[in-house]
Amino acid sequence: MIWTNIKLALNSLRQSKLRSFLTMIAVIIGVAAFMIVTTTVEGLKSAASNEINELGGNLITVNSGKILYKDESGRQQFNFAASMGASTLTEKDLNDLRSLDGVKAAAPQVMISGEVEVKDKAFPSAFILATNEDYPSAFSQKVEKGEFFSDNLTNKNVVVVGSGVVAKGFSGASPLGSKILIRNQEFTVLGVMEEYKSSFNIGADLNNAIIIPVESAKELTGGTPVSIQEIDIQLDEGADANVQAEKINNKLLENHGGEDDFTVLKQDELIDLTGSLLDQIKKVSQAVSYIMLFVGSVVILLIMLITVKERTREIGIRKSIGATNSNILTQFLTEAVVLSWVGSLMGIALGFALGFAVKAAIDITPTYSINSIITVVIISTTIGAVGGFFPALQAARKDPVEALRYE
Amino acid sequence: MELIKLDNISKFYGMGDATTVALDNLSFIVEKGEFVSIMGPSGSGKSTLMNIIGLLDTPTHGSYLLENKEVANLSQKDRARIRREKIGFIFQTFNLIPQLTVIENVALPLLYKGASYVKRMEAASKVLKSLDLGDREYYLPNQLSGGQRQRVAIARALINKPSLILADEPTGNVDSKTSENIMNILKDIHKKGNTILMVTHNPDLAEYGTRVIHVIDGQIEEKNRSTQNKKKATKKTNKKAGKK
Repeated sequence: MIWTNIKLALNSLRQSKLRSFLTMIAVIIGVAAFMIVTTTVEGLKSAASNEINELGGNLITVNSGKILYKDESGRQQFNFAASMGASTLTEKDLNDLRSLDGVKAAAPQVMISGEVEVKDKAFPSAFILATNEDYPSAFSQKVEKGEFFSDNLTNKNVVVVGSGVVAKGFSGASPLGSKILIRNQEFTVLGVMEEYKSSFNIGADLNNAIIIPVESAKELTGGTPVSIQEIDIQLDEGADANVQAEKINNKLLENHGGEDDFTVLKQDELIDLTGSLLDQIKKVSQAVSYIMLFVGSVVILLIMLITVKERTREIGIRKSIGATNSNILTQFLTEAVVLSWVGSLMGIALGFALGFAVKAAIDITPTYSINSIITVVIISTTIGAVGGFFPALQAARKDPVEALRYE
Repeated sequence: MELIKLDNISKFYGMGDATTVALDNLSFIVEKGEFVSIMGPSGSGKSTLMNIIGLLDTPTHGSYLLENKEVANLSQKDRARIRREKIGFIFQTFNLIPQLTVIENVALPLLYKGASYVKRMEAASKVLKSLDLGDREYYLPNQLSGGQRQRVAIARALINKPSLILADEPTGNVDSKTSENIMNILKDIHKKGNTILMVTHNPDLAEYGTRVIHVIDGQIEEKNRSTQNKKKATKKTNKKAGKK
């Protein structure tokens, strides 16, 4: 009976193609939006996770401010405002962490504001990052040309640049030995970092980095102590991340007089954090597609009401030859669900097509999972069933005598 | 053997001063194998009577025995079951479902009986062939003539091998030649032992029946037509049938 009802439903869908298509538009758009949001965010999550993993197998980051906390229900929450406060991480913290057992490298991230001029031309897409000689080890990044600066500097005004700076600022020519103006001070290019291949940049594009020693940063900012936003620590191979994170935490608590004003994140926590932030974005975006799907359900309801009215006589005929109320209810409910299914199939196809567009536009490969397809099937069945139920009930309750008289 | 026994059946519509009496304490018996023609002016209650006998409607009060079982106040579900098992309908306007093919229309009652697709199609094909419609199985109703459509409707009414066939002006929408053809089919069906109740306005067609009753103002009025006359009419009909 169900299969016959599905065939009947497809039959009536075919007989009024334009009307069916117009009915399905909201479902098509809603499902496509749901698909593209879900798969793109999953793609972003996987790109972010890959990227964090590329930073080395055993990375721990220390951020200023308590940016993560657990709420009453024990769920991890992100306090964005805490990350905006003035940093309390000091050079002493950095040096103490560098000297901890099990720590291979610890590099600070100090962002410096200022204008950069390359070959007498302003280079506004660059950002100035002050760090120490541990930077390549901490981020598992290689120096492609020249060398990275060391702590025993004879000339503090040296700079290592990202590959993007070479491509855009020096038109691809070797910049070694060339001068770059940073806040009107001359710096000599000492090295070039290997191209940072990434589709998902955490914060800024590292290929546009102008990397200078922390000591130079102090001079650039008038000799004041620099504000360390983040310390990135690479552990020795085989070191236990949990034990090390505990040690780092204890050391910082000691330095800060017991004040818990920092966040220590292990690599897996960093991946989870990025994932949970992206999940929040996903939820908000999905809410928009749910609104479209709700509209789809209402449209199905309206069209099914019209269909039931138009097919009143057919309902009378079916009842006269022995259809029960539940037979009629099932028939019209199936019709609404099939309408929604077909719309969803078209929506999935559109979602796939948009996936290619996303790949072309922002270089994120959408991740399709069986879960997202199952969710779409459940959603579309619900839309059809919710939208179709009332009209189907109305059809089932029709009086056969009245229905047979309907012109 | 009594197939239908109506006892003091009444049907009222509306309430209070606006009450309309469609059937007024009507009593009526149909024996198995009869071909009863029902005549009467418009608004006399013929259609209401057919709807109640066909279990599409329920009487306000009174008793209705179908094959000796009380069916007047059954639930909708039970009435639907009896309709699909025991009653076949033939309507004036054919009432075929336009989006279904001829064979699908004919097979439809079996769907609600729970028969498999193959059985439904085989049975429908067989009935259609018996009514010379074997070559029209996959046509849509709007591709057929009026007479062909009514034959399809007859096939649909027969597919469940019903105990009772209710025909509501079956020739009302066809020309006189086709009308005769349809009546001959009904006569043949009757000869095979089926019980038929037919509403008609045409006295000539009413004579095809073995018995003619008149419904006037919601009551059955046996016209001053004696039993003898009635028998004559029956003989005449049988003679006609014999010639053909």
